[in-house]
Amino acid sequence: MREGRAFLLIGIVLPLFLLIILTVTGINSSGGAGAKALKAFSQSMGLRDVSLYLMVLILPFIAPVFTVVGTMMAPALYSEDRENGFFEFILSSTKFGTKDIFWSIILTALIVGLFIISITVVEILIVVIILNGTVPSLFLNELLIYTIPISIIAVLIGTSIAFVSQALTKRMTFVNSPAGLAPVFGVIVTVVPLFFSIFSARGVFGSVDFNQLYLILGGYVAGTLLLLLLIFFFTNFRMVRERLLS
Amino acid sequence: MTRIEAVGLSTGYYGKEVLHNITISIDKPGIYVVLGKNGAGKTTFFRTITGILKLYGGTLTINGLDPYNHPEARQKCVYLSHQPGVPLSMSVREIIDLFATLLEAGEDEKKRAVKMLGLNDLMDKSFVSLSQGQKKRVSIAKCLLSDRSIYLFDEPTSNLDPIIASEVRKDLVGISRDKIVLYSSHNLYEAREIGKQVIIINNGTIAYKGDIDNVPMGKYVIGIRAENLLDVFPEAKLQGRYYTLELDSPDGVSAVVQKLVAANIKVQEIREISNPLEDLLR
Repeated sequence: MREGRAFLLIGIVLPLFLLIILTVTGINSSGGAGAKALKAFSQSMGLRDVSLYLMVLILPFIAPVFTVVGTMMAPALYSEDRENGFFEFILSSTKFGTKDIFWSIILTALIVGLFIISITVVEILIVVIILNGTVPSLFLNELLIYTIPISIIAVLIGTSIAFVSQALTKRMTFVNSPAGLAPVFGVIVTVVPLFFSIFSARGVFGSVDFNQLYLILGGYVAGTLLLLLLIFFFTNFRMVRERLLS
Repeated sequence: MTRIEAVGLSTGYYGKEVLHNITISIDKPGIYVVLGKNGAGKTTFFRTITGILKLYGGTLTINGLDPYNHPEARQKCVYLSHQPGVPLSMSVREIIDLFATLLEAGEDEKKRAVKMLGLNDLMDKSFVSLSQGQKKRVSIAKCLLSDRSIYLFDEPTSNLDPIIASEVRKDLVGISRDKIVLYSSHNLYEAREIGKQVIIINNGTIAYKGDIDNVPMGKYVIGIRAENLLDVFPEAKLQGRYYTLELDSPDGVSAVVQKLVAANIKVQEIREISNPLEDLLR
C-alpha cells in the first residue's frame, strides 16, 4: 500500500511540478531575439505569454503519462495482496472468483485514473486562467479531445492487458508482473497518437486540419476500446485461479 | 451432514502433478489432522478441496458438487493458509469489518471471533505493527467469523506461543463437535493432542487414513554438543560427537535449553537426531 500511495502522489504532484517549471521558464524567457520571436508567436495564437505557449504545447500531451504512472497504485496493491494470500482466501472461502478480482482491480485503476486526471485538469485550468484571464479554445480542445480520453483509455488498456497477461501466462519475476506491464502498455497508448500528430504535422498523411485530427483521435480511442472488448471476449473464460496464489 | 469425497484425484500447478490418485471420503464431524513433511502436498490438498486448483484427473465433490465449478460448494469451506491473507495496511478493526462483509457475518459473529482470539486490545492497532503471534490470531479470527461446515487450517499454530497455541487448539476442538476440521501439521505430537483421525500424506499420495492411536509413536531425539552436559542431564547418552536426549515432543527442546543456560553450560550445537514423523514416512 505504501508503494501504491507513492505512485498516486507522483501522479498528482508531477503535473503540478511541471506547471511550475513551465511558468518559471516562460517568465524568464524575456530577453534575446529568440525569446521575443517566441513571445510574438505566442501572442499571435491568442496567448498572453510564453509560459502559456509552453503549457499548450506540452502539458495536455504529457498529462496522460502521469495519470498512467499514478494508477500503478492498483497493480501495486494487487501484487501486495497476492503475496500475502488475500486473494487465496477470497477464492477459497467466498463466492467471488478470479474475474471478480480482476474486474475490481481494473475498476479501481479507472477510478484512481479519473481522480488524477480531474485534479491535473483543474490544476492546469486554474494556472491558465490566472496567467491568461481566459482559457484559450485550442487548449480546451486539447484537454477534451486528447488529454482526458487518452488518459482514460491508457489506464484501461494498460491495466487490462497487464492482468490478462497475468491470467494467461506463467508467472515470471521481473518479466510479466502487472505492476510492470500496466504502465508500459499505458504509456504506449499515450505515445502512439503523439506519433500520429507528429507525422501529420510533417505531412506524411497529407495536410491534416483540426477536424481531421479529431477524427484520428476519436477513431484511435474507439479502436482501442474495441481492442479492449476483444481482449476480454477472448480471454474472459481462461483466467486460472492458481495464478493468484502467493 | 457434509461429505467430502475424492475419487482418483490428481492435481498440481501449471500442469505439474503434485497429488496423485487420491481417494478419500470424509463425512463425520471432527478434527482430521493432515500430517506430512514439508512439500508432501498438504497445502495442495487443501487448495484442491477449496476449489482453487483444477483437477487433472478423478473427481472431488462437497455434498455432490465440484468446488472448482460451484461457488456454493466453496462457500461451505473457510481456509486459513500459511499467509496472513489480509490487506496489510489495515487496522485489526478494519480487517474484521472487511471479512465480516465478505463472509456475510453479523455483529454477534464479529464479537464472538474477537473474544475467542483475545483481540479486544488490538482492535485499533495496524496489522503490520503486530507480533507474529498476534498476526496469526487475527488471521484465525477472520476464519471464525462465518459459520461454515468445513474448516481448513494450514498449520494454524505455527508462530504462536504455547499458551495461545493451546487455546487455539481448544477452540478448534470446540468447533469440530459438529463441523469437519482439517488441520495440517508436521508435528505428530500436536496431531495426537488434538485429533482422533489422521490423514498422512507422503509424496503426493495418502499413506494412511485412520485412527491416530494406530500410528506408531517413537520418541523425539535431539543431539547436543556441550561440555559438562552430564552434570545437568545424567541420562544423556554419548553417541559419536553428540550427547542424545529422548524427549516427549519437540516442545521439550526449549525446556532443555533453559536448563542448560541456567546451569551456565556452554552449548556448541543442538540438532534433531530422530523425528518420529520422518521415521514413519521413511
